[in-house]
Amino acid sequence: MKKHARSTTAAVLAVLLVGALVLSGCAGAAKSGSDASGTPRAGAPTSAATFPVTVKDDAGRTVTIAKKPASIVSLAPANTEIVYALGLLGELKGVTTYDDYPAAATKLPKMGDFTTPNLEAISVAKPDVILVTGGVQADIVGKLEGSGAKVVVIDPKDLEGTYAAIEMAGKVLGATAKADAVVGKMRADAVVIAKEVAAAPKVKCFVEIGWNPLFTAGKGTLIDDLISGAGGINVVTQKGYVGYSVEQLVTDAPAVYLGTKSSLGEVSALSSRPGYSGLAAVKDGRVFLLDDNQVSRPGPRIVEGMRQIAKALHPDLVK
Amino acid sequence: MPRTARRPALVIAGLTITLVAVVMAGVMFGAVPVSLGDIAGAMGRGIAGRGGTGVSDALVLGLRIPRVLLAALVGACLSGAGVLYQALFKNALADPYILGVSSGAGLGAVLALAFGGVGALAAVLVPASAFVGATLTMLLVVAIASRAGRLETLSLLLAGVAVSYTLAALTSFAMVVRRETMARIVFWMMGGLQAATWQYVAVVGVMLVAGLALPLAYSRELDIILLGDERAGQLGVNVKVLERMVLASASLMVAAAVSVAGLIGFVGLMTPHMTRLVLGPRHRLLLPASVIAGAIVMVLADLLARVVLAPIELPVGIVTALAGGPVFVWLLMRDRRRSL
Repeated sequence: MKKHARSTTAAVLAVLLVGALVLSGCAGAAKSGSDASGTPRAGAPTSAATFPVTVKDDAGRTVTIAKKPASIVSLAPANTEIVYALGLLGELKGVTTYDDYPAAATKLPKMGDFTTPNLEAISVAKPDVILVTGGVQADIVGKLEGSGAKVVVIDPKDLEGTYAAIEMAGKVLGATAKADAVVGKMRADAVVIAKEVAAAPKVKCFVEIGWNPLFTAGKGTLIDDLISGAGGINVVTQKGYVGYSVEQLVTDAPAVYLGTKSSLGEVSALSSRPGYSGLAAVKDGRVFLLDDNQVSRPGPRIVEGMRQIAKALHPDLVK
Repeated sequence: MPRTARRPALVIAGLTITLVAVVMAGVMFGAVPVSLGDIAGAMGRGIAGRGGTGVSDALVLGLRIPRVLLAALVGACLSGAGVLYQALFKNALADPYILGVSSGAGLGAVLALAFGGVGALAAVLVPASAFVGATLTMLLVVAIASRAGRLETLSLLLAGVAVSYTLAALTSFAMVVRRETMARIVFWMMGGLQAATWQYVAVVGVMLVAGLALPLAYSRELDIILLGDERAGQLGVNVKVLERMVLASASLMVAAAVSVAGLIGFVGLMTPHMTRLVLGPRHRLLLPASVIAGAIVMVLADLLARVVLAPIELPVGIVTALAGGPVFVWLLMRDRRRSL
């Protein structure tokens, strides 16, 4: 009996973890995308943010903010990075133990960890706005609202969703001009990468996010989006985060093998795995480690993650 | 007399043929279709010692065959240990993890994953550390439950549960402290056979043989133990020695299985019961039959895990529990009706 409970727990944990790895949950990205496009963007940069402001967040909730928030709590590393990029680190009163960028964020009061935010610590911090994520945090949104703070779910699923989420955060926090500038820079950087790899043929690749069982990111994931943007083709055509057959991997014969640091650890780890010696990517030495934080956090640094992947796929073209 | 003597031989022969068939199916089917000719060719080249360079050779010899064989060995280990624990504790719910062996292995693996670094060394370090954890835990639990040289089965169970919870808490603690390694740990705990190599097959194979040798030789004494310690003593069985031998043998097999395949539920608890429901409680037949049945169940479960949603793979523990639970209930009900 105990054992069954444990394996169930492990399975649940794994699901949570895969969600946590990519800081994503259940809400659709399409919503955030359409939300951004449905709002007039043109007038925003010049005029100071006008409150009250109403947004539709990534969980599809409509949230109205009465005045510019003076204090913010962020419950996800990506949210903290967004707040930082918007120049509002001074207003940030609390983060999670997972938040490690920028370095200054690690010195801020801790509101618990990413999967289990500490409701007491949050209520003591008395924030005007709490920026949460979806998935593991979906259940506590109601409780957090009870504290009187405005709760905004930031949970983009892809690159466009990430741009939209940053612009939504800009509206909520009264920094629309800055948000537009940040997103503008990101889009421009992505275009630069696209131009650099435009001439080369697409490179087949595989990305490992967990081993034994082997887990990968398929269609409809942020990493898949980054691979496309970086001039690559993900050999995995299944949707979402899935366990994957090593037999199939060997048959897919990706030219490049990408592994997150949290899963692969070291390139040499592959040498002892059954079947891997037959992989072209391993034979050709085209195995690369990705920084989990840069390729999985839907925040302002995500295009840097795309550049990391582009470098791995097209070492001659991308600096 | 001739009838009873012939039946065990028939049962074992039937189970063995089934196992061979299931293993062949396991090698024939997978996420990637490989023709019978290619399989035979790869095996021929493998046996001749000059493995080909083609994809199908790598796939059949490097991935599929070691995995199927390891599944069989892991299933055999878990099921064999289940039979022994159930006899030792005279308890139908005793399972391979009862003495904290799984949490000990878990903590060992987690420590290796969290602090032992990564790379090629980790591939050896993790199962080795899991094995050490399992063995030390078993010894600790036995030491706690020993009183004046005797093992009390109730104390043994309770000590096992208490130690299990403590070690599980330590495992969670290690995961929280070394958050950056949490992903690797969670995946290890899901259990699976994707890391199967020929080296694992050899190691687990040796441990299975070592773990089964003594209990098979003393299968009659195991039957007598079930009558109660006092009665067994009267019948000339040295209960004290037998208990320790059974304990050591079973734990060796569990430690071997958990070290290479993680925590796989159901097989060790249910397969012995299913076999007992069909064949009765005599260990001379029950032990070898359960071992083979465990191998069959595990190979089938892993085959399903590989092909049902291919190329997506399911954690094999999900399959063993999902498919095994209902089968067990059916056997249980059939047995009740028959005995009424």
